[in-house]
Amino acid sequence: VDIRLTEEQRQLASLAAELAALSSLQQGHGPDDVREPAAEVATVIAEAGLLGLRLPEQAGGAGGSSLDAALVAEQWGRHLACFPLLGTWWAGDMLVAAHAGDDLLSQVASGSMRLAPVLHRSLTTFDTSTTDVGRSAAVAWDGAQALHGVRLDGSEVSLVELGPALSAVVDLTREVREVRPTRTAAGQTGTAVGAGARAHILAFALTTLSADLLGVMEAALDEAVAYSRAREQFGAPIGSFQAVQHLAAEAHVSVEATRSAVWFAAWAVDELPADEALLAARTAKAFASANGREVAETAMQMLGGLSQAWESTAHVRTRRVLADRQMLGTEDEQYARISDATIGTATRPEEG
Amino acid sequence: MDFSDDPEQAAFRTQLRAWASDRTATSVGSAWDSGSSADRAAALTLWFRELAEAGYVGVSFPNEYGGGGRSPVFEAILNEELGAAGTLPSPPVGHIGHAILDYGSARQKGELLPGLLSCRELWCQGFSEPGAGSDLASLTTRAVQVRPPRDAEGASAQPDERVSNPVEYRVDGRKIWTSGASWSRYCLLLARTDPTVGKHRGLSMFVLPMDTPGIDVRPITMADGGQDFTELFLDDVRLPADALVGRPGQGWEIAMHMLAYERGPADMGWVGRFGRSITRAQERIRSGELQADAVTRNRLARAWVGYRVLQLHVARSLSEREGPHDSSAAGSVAKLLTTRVDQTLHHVLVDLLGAGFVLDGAEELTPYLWSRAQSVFGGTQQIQRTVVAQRVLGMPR
Repeated sequence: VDIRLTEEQRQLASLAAELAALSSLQQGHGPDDVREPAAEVATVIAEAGLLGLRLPEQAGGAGGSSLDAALVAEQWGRHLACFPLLGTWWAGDMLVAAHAGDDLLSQVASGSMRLAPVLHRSLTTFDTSTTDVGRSAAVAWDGAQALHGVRLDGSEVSLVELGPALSAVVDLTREVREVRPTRTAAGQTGTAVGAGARAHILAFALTTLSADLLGVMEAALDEAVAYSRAREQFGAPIGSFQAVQHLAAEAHVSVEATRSAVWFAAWAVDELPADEALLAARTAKAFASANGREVAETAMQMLGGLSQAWESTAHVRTRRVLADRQMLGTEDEQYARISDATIGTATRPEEG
Repeated sequence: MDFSDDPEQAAFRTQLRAWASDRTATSVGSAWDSGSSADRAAALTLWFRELAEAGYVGVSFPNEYGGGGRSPVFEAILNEELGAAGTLPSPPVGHIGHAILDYGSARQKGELLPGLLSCRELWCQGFSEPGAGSDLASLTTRAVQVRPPRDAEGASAQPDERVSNPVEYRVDGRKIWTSGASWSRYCLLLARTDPTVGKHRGLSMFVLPMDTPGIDVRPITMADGGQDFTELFLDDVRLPADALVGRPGQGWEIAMHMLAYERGPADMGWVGRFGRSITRAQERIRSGELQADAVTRNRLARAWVGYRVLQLHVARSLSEREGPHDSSAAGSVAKLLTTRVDQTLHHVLVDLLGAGFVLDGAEELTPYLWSRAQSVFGGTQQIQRTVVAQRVLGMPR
């Protein structure tokens, strides 16, 4: 047991911070500055090895650990990065689990083939095989500039055609795309994905979302604390008032506890059997979802009226948190699954 | 980063797990659950000694003082395994141990630590006073340098601060919320030695043997009817000069250093205690003894998530204790997290019993009341938040 970052991991995090800033919504700029990441950003991120961070080395990937991915995802959240990195990783995970060819994976690693993961419209599962009446049961998440969607239905991975981006979205920093019911010419890709591999894919996705939430929380608190030092009322900085200090202190506890949960979940994806890795990831996602919203809202409160202005980044952070919370299930969804795992199944069947 | 055990840790864990599973079957636990305060204290004392004899107390303290000589993360393993086995918690020796280890003289370390870490000599703590709770530094118990009676004929009882070569302290005052004073061998006492300087700088720390004449211990009957705490009345209590820990005026620094360990949940065995409660609740639902609807199951899962995150956070904090860090502020973060988990958990445990809690709930009442004390003792939740805001986040004073 040694729960500390290595020097290499710290360096990776600071590299990730620089790259996240390339598509970031910088502090002091409003949501009008959210921009489609320029095409060359993909090249820079690919060359730094982040697009293929999780992919095997023989396919041009970096063969990085899930902890590496979590550290990068944290910076993505921290900087409100718009570049669709998490979506690329999830799609890549699905392809690797299906033993897709190295040529396809190397296109993903180089950024020449941009892919987005397909989710059921409930956003709680990847599996789209339960269809709603009258509308597509699927959406592709984090799909800016993606050419295709990658769908994991049951044990089958396939490439599917994507439609336009949904217009009314809460999250201003990521794109959600419609999914067309047709498969691409490539159709089913690779081989069947077993239950254990599916659980690992889900565990990794939950972990990266939790890491993204961690980054957003940290940045929200940092911004609010900095503001509380500068903003004066009643002749004193508002940060000198205990009512304000106590809000910030509880938020700090939430941030540090979330970090402990995220690090363990990330380590567990690579080191533990599927059921334990999934439980660790659900634990992190439950904690980060509940505490992420709390911290983002605390930060808004500390910023006062400013947080309600369109120009403020505070609501952009909160929007991202609200979206992350829903992705693959809020804390309530996680609690239900955790109960099944720790007490035993009650009434609801376990799904993928 | 590695959450798994290295070979030494794995061997320690395996041995501990086997040892603890044997102990679970003993009657120690049931005396704790159903007994009076005295029964609980006796059961706990027995358990602490058993744990110490097996080498599981003070595992991160140096070998030469009876410790295990291992890294701090072994404390996390100990708490995890005891919690999983459902035993009683490990003894709270960390904070007193570190006061002696980090500030005591060579003689104090040699004489006092082996008794503390073997649990043969129990300790209590004399910090709070009726007039000094959150504002601990305003305490008024006085320790005055005096001549010993045989050298100062006729004037022996009079405090004299001008004595140039004192060989004795005279202590007068009152301490409150002292736990286990009736069966303790020593009290670690914080008293004012210099009333002329700022309130934080005039305090000193002493080792007070509890059999010293002039100590009157009066039990406090607590909200659950138990008598786990006492009030100490100190009247002309005489201490030799070498009862002082550290330098005169260093008392506040030592007290803050101790609180870092007292606030750390691993040091106090809290994590293990929560693990035991939650595991038992899960078992009772699984066996059908308790009914839990979907809402209650979710609430219990939320408490479980809090417990797991606390456990992971404690392990991480103990790893970081091996490097440079601000232990006191880290202790405050851990204490605030512990408070959240404790109070969330005991809300759901009480509600899980439902009518049974009202009709036959004595067993769950004491842990519930303790969960409310969690945000008061060792520095209130509000004091901890102020510490975190000012010392970690750098918010203005």
